[in-house]
Amino acid sequence: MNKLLKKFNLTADKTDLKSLCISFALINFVFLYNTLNFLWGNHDVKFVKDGLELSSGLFEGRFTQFIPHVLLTNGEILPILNNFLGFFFLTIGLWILAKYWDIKKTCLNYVLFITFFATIPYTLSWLYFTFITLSCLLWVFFAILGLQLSAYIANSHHKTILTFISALFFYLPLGGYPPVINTIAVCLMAKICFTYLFENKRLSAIIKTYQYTVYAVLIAAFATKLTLKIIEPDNVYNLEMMPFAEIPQKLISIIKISVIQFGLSQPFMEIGYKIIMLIMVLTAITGAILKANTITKRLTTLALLILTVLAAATTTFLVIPHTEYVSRIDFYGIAFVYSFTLALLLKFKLPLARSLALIFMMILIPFNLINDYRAQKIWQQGQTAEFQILDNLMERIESHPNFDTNQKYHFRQLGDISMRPRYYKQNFAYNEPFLLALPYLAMWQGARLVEFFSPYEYIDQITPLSPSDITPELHQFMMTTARPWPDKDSIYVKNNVIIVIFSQNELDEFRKMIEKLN
Amino acid sequence: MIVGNPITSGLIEGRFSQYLLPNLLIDGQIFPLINIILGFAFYALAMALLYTRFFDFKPSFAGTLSLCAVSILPYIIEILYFQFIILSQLFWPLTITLALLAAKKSLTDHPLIFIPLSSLILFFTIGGYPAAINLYLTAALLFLLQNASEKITFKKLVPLALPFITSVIVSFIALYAVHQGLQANHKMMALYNNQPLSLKDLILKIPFMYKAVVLSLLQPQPYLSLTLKLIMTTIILLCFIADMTNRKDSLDRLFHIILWLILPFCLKFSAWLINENPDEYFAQHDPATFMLRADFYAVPVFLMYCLSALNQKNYHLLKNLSFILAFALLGLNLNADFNYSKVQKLGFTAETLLQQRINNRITETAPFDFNNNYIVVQAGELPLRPHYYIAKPLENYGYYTMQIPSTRYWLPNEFYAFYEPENFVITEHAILPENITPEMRNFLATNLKTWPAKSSLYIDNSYIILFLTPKGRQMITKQFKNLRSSK
Repeated sequence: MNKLLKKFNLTADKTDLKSLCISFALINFVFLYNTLNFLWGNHDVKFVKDGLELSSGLFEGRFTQFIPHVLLTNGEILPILNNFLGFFFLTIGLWILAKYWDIKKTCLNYVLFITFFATIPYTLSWLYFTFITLSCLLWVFFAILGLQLSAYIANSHHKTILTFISALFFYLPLGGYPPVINTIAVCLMAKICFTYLFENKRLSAIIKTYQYTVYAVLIAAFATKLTLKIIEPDNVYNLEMMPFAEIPQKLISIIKISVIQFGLSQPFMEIGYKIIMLIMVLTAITGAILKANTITKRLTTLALLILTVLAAATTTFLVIPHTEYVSRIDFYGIAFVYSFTLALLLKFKLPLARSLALIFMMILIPFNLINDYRAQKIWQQGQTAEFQILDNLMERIESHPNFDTNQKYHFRQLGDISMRPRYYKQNFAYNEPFLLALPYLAMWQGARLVEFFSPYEYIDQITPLSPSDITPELHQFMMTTARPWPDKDSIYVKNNVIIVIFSQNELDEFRKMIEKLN
Repeated sequence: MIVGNPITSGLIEGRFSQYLLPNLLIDGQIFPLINIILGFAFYALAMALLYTRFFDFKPSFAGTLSLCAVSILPYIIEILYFQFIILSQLFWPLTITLALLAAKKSLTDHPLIFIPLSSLILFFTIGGYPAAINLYLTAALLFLLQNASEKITFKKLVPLALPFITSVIVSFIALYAVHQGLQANHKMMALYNNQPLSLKDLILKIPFMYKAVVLSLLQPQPYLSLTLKLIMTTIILLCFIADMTNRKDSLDRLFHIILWLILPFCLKFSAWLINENPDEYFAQHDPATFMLRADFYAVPVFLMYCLSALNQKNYHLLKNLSFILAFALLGLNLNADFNYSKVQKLGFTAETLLQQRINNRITETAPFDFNNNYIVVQAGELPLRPHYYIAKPLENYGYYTMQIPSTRYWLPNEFYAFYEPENFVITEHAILPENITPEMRNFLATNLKTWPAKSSLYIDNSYIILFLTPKGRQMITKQFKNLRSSK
């Protein structure tokens, strides 16, 4: 085993172990408040209570998504362990990346590199839904492990076997969360950049070496597509694909996004923070161009750098619509671009570059810490506020004179109440659902949420409210009496129907709908 | 939680030393974090001392893995259920270890000092929690098993076992004397957990004990899945087989078989002694042989011995197997313990929210007045932890770990006013016949509704009666009808 690990440069000496332990501790400290408070998002309600099954992700084509949970936690979403395991695999994955990119091995270099990436607020977006925290952090590990193994194929006697093993490591994350393709693309492009710049190899030789990685990725992508054909998932938004004919038209958008993403402020990543990150990116890129000693080399380096940056923004966006500026996709893309630029600074032999890397990290890691803790505080405040509303709602329903615990009700919640934005007062250019906008009490999860803390199971989870439930009395109530929460007429309980009204807009929509039915 | 644990709190059930340590260290208070951290520190020290000093196992990575795996066996979760005894319950393994080390030391040095010392520490420990004796007896027997590896005669065995046997006898005599004294002074009540069986009953219970031990190693319980139990049983069986194959002659083998046959009584010694008939309020309704709190003292150390003994054998296969089993045990235990934390937190939150809703209803219902003192009668209980637990096939028991709510119907004075600005509840929780008014009679006799129906609540100037569950309502109505018919 040790021999095998050594062959692929995966053995850990004292420096590696020390940096792994320090990084893991630091990452866990940064997200400790979330870990201890066991905050869970609006997709988690059922899974927190009933657990996950291997087949839970099939309907949306994510056929490997819950393998890690079933194997590691028996399909349960467990407090503390969920985050710990996720961060454990993320730490190991980033350590392999440091080796893949051949960053000079010192404890400080590795700790800075791992901690910086893992604490960028994009990681937060994977903590909002606890049911995918573990798997989506684990995919980084698999994708980078695949890259590391595939880098050795060119010099191996077992090219075919190794290509298929690498493809398997790409196939697992692609089957769980396809945008992980961004990580593979950015990290591979970055590796080509590093090899070209620091190993003075010809581009054709580099392509010869890394062609096997591309083959492995293509095999994995093909296998993923084939699997999707076989399992026939439902027609859900995240399986929507761009027609190939439209892809060329999208190229302009891609270039635009690639540039804008560096200056776009989002919740917990304000403009000042983004500017410092951009300065780091520009410094590293300037350094890389200056390091190339001929015009041709400079131009090639510039092209490779542009391709690396484009890889972050485009790989998913090119084929799946509406995926720009989504923080959890950016976690697999632009976050790796930032890490790439840090790695560049750490790789230059010039002492100034290393000093700059240290200065940037002295600014950015504390910035990450503050942003992450601010987010965790706001999430917790938001969740507490929304769950207090839920508790008041439960009390109102249970004390309603028509309420009967033995009845099974058809339930409908009209509108959401999202409280996290109430506690966040910073400015941002682009709102982000997972980091801030999404409510815990989501409209489509109301039926499960309303009885989550109740002693009784009174909601019919199979049959939702249907037109046949709309009696003249209910029609009259909805059209004339109903008002949004917290009005006393924001709840309707009668016969086998419970309706909760949280927003005037949704009430108006509902009114239009029942009018149409008439 | 509010007033802390006075040093004499345990006297009522004969546990005179139970609150000495909490009073000494943290003024008898129940503190968040500190209670558990201190408790775990003592427990970890005890396990490490047992491993390195008492059994003299060589420290190794595999050994550390085994030690970690057995230390977090889900038996510990029942200890964590009661905040008020966490610190002392986790301290007893350390005192037992010290008693064991003193007895071991007496084999080579100053027996007249170390045997009384061992007896004294043991007396102090079983005075706090008698079931802790299981650890002493199990470890002592395993020590004999370990040291009887060479051909051993009865003559050699007696001096080896004597310090341990003497300590147990002396400490039990002393405990008996203390219990007699406490009972004579009306300080101690006869409860389910301090009523030993007669000698005749103990003998009659022997076949039952063997059956119970085998069953308890196989019967899935909440958080102790069948997989976990099978792994534990495999470890024990492997250790037994390895021990038997190491024996050179039949006499030697016979002697070891006898020790293995005594082992079940050491593991479940407290269950063997105890009267199984539960009293009404305090009893835990699981059979004593399935009581996780008692098993916490013996099973982990037994498994630690088995894993470490296998690991110290010269066979690579056994070493590898013990490593894999320890690793699997660690993973399963982590899952079970974190699952317990999740279920406990969600269940406790749901029960607290329910209590808040009940209190809101009470305070909004006329003629409730905060200036009055009420007898609160809660008919029934609503344990909500099972709502958040995915039960595995064949699971049974789990009284404290799963079945009961955090708020008990017989302690309304402790939780109905816990978060209220004024205490409006008095200690009594029964309806006195002379206090029954016509309105109350009408409510008790005719009301069929239970919570959350509006009519499930009755309030007058001195009583608050809540029909929380249909079962609770039936019990109260039945008691009321019995009362009427007896009149």
